[in-house]
Amino acid sequence: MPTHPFETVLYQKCGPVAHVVLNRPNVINAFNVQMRDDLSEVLAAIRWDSDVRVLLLRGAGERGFCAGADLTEFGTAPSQMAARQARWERDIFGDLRDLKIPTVAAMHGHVVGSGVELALLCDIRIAANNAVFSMPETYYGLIAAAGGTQLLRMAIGQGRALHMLLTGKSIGASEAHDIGLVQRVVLPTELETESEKIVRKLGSNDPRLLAATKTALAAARDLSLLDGLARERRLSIMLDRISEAIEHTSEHGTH
Amino acid sequence: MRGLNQSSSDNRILTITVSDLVTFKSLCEIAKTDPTIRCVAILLSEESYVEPGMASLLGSLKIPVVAGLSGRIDNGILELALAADVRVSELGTTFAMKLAQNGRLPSDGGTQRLPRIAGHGLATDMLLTGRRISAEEALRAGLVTLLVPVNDNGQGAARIAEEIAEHGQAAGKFTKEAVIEGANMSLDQSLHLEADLAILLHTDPERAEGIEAFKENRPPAFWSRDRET
Repeated sequence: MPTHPFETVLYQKCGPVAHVVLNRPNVINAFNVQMRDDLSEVLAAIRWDSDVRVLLLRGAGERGFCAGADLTEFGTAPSQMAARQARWERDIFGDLRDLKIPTVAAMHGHVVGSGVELALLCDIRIAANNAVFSMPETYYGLIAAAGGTQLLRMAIGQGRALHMLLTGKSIGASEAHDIGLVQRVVLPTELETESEKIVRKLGSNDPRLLAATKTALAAARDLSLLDGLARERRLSIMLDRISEAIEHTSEHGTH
Repeated sequence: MRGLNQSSSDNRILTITVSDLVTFKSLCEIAKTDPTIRCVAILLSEESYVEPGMASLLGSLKIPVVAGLSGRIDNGILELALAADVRVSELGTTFAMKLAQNGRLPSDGGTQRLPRIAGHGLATDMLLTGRRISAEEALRAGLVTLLVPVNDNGQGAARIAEEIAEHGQAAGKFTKEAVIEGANMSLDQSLHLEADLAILLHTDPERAEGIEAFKENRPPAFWSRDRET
């Protein structure tokens, strides 16, 4: 169970499961530049580690998953040019979205701004029934900038996304479930065991099949139906050929 | 209540009740050009005047639009409501798109905005069969996002508009642009739009005030500053 020390993130591998915990509990895991850099390293390690088959993202402490961007660090970018360059040089949001392995966000308490966005970049969202979601950016004269304007619309629909983003209103776990922001709601005491159950099951599945399913789902989002159907067919044929090759190898040996 | 109906104490919100095309056009022009206006509230019922082109005009506004809905929200009135950003509905309000039943195709966004907002399945049902849906079904589908009591007289929509007007003006505009324009792009393109808008917002004095307010642990003072100057 190797552990790598990072200032703002706990990263631990348990068999096929990469446990990533946002770890600034005294500020409800507010997302800051250090956390971006730490997540960047963690996600790179996960991406190149073929032992890792599933990622579980959580927040440390009792109070919540993530309180959003740490605004105390805002206003320090030297220029718009530098800010734009930095945004795409260390694009941890893109890194998280592009992982081939399934990703699960397990949330409790405060889930705010960037916290909601990190969760939306994961494949499966599970919430404790004490979770409260909000996007308060416009209240501070900001906009959601980690994919929130796009991913929220895709997850809950244009009208609900605009309502949340423009008013900053809070949504409880049960409503979040009703509108499709999260897929499962459990008791706070069950969040850990339930999310463990999900990642253990995902970790035991064929990683090629899971990666192909994720690719096909991305095609459903990005491509026309005709192109998406063609992509699905190609992925399916590719998987069959890999299975045949593996059977062939195991029958005839590799020597 | 007809035409221009701005409450005297709050010139950040432009309230529109639609009685004729000329007034509607002039109010939309004010919403486009008056920099003190931060949010539009449009109140719609079966008595609202509507003709093709009005939804396109409302949809072209860059600032957020809240619609307060009551009574029968049908056909062109529904198309107008769909061009708003946030829809608030009185209990007992019903929604229907019966143009196809009358041998006509909706021509002001009905076939495009209804599936994008309420989902393809429900939109197909409503457009092809003319089925009337309740406020509760509209809420479940995300066609409206808040239900208020009957005879609310637009107070629910006004409350939402006030909340939006308290927030950053450019932030509201950019959020609207990212959500609505982003829907016409691939995810990669739309994420670049969102990021570029966020960085353009770095030049906004309200953003600086918002961050300062956060650091000083006080509410941001956007429009009260407008009022002082």
